[in-house]
Amino acid sequence: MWRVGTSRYEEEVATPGEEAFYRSFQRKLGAKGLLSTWWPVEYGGRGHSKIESAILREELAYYGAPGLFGPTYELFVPMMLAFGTEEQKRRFLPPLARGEWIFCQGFSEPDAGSDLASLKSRAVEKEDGYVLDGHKVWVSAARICDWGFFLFRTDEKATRHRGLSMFLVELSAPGITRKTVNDYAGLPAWQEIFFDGVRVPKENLLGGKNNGWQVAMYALNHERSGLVWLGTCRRALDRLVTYVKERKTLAEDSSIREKLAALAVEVETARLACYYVASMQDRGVIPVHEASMAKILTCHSSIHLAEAGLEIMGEYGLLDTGSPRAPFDGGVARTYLSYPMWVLGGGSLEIQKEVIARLGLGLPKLSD
Amino acid sequence: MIRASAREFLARECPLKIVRQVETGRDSLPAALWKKLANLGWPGLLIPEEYGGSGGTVLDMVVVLEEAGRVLLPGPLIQTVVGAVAILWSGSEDLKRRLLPKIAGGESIVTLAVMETEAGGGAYFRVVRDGNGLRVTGSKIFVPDAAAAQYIVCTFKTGDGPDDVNLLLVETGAPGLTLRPLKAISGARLYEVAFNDVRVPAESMLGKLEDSWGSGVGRVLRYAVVAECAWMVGAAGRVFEMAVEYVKTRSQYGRPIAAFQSVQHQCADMAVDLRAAEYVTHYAGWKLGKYPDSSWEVSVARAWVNDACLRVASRACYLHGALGYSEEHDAQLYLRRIAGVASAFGGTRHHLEMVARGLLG
Repeated sequence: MWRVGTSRYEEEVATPGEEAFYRSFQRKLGAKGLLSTWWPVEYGGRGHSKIESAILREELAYYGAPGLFGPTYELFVPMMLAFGTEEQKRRFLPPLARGEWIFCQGFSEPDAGSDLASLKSRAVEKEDGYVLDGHKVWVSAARICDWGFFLFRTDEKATRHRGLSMFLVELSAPGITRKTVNDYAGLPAWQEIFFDGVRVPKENLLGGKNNGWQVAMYALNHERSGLVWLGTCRRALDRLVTYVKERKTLAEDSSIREKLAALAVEVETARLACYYVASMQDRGVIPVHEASMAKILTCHSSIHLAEAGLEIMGEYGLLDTGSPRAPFDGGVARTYLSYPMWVLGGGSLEIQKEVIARLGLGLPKLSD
Repeated sequence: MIRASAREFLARECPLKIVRQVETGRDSLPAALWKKLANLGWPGLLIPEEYGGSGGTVLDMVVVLEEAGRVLLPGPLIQTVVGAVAILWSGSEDLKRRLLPKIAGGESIVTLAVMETEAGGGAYFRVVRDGNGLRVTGSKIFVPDAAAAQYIVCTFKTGDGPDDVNLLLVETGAPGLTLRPLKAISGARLYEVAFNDVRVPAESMLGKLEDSWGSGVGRVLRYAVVAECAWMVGAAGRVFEMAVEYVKTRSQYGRPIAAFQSVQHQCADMAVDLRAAEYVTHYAGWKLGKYPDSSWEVSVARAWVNDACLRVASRACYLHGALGYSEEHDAQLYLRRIAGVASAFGGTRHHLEMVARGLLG
């Protein structure tokens, strides 16, 4: 497997040099057909199964390889394959197979986070297309993206999730302004995107008018299996094990042995849950609560691994990339900072538990 | 009384803007701020009045440091307070009369260097007699605010036993001493301090070279352990307040998210963690002040406070959603700082080991 050094996920790409590397690596993956392995062959796929693709995904994440950006390949592509017209598929999928464009996801708004269905950004239908007005926040990695898919309200009279539509928007379109928002590691993780009279053609509507919620939920369920984070967890665990093995007093400490063992058990369990979701997808069954379960297991793994990294490595575990004496070039510290954002993205743990309780177990909704 | 005036002073003099400036700026400490702390008598809090100090108790220190933690006060206040104690207990009379008033007055800042750099085949830090002085070689790491300090109190091994340890006082300006800044995600200004045959006068040893002063060094360090507990309690308390305020005002699904049971239970969990952290810190502080050889309660406190305060800060950020992890928002300052302090002095693992030894021998 090729080594790419320190993980630089999309949200962490901060310098022009990093962006250039990101793009060139993505194109190399594209040239090898590795960005589209499970797609139908007519759109650039190799006809691999979801499980085979999951293995590749996990390994790429393990080595911190850039390129398979979640919103583009785990959200947009499945949505496009399931809901896109033939024209849309032929327009968008081949460039993505080659790694030429990056799509970001814009759902959340300042007043619509967990309660996404309350979003207010509007799309008004005109003769030749739609006019978009609104404000999206926490759009991951938008800084380096070319396109985005966004939920807008197309029917003001319909309540909540019923009047929403999914639009594909090129980020250089007139009327769009963007503001970079740094995360607490000081990296340009997100952007706020403002839409002021942005015109999009009808061809950029995905999945039909007022059907946006179905499209979005399909995509989110697809993403929740969390293999990217699983790859990162496995790497974190392997690093901890390496660190401990190199220090006799740690390796012989029974509390550390027990802790590492418990972590390994959690990672294995999460891994199986993620691959089960992939197997469902291969069988054509849409995972819902199973995906939420996989996400919860992966999140718990990553939380415990991040904490264990600090506990076992002590103050060394807090040294950042670029610091003298930083173990694994700051990898442990970086993982510690980034895991909460994965836990929150795509639906917090509490939301996942709601999905499992209501949709999985059929427990009643709390009455108003 | 001390708490109210401390809180008022710090709210005025140490807004979080200053904390951010120190994190990203060149200086680890605004000199003007340190002078004001000295005017309040805080660096010399535990120095007796006969040496120019405030003559305060351990519990006074706990209160002051809780308030300092609440505003994430930058600078080596804890290290200076504890370093002064080390000098007080074991320095020569001449050293005490020379140095303690300057520490109390704010002219001399002290930091602590405990951990030795782990490099290659293990850590080393050696102090040997050299003529009528001492010669120091080795490297200490995670030394807070070394660039702002005039003095460093260093631990060093005098033998292989656990009690074979002593303390050395070194001037940061001494020839052969170099500082290398580290970059920690906690935002703390930590340094690696390399000693390349640094010569120091004999009286810089706090205690005698052949003596092991294990019990004394232990007592000094336990002051720092309790001091940091107090600091973490204050910091966690403030970020907890922020989270409660946020969930009361943030609305989703047509109501404040504080109305949801899962959010309420998370807040209740934080409240319990924090309250227990306060109790255990105050008890350890009281005990240490009254019985200077107390150690078990100190480790119990540190083991609890580290994990509880980190849980509180993590949960507090999480309840803010993505806001809690954005650079602009203040909650993450608390999370990163608390993560840093919780890892110092051996972390929870070390203190649990001390607790276990107290139970099992």
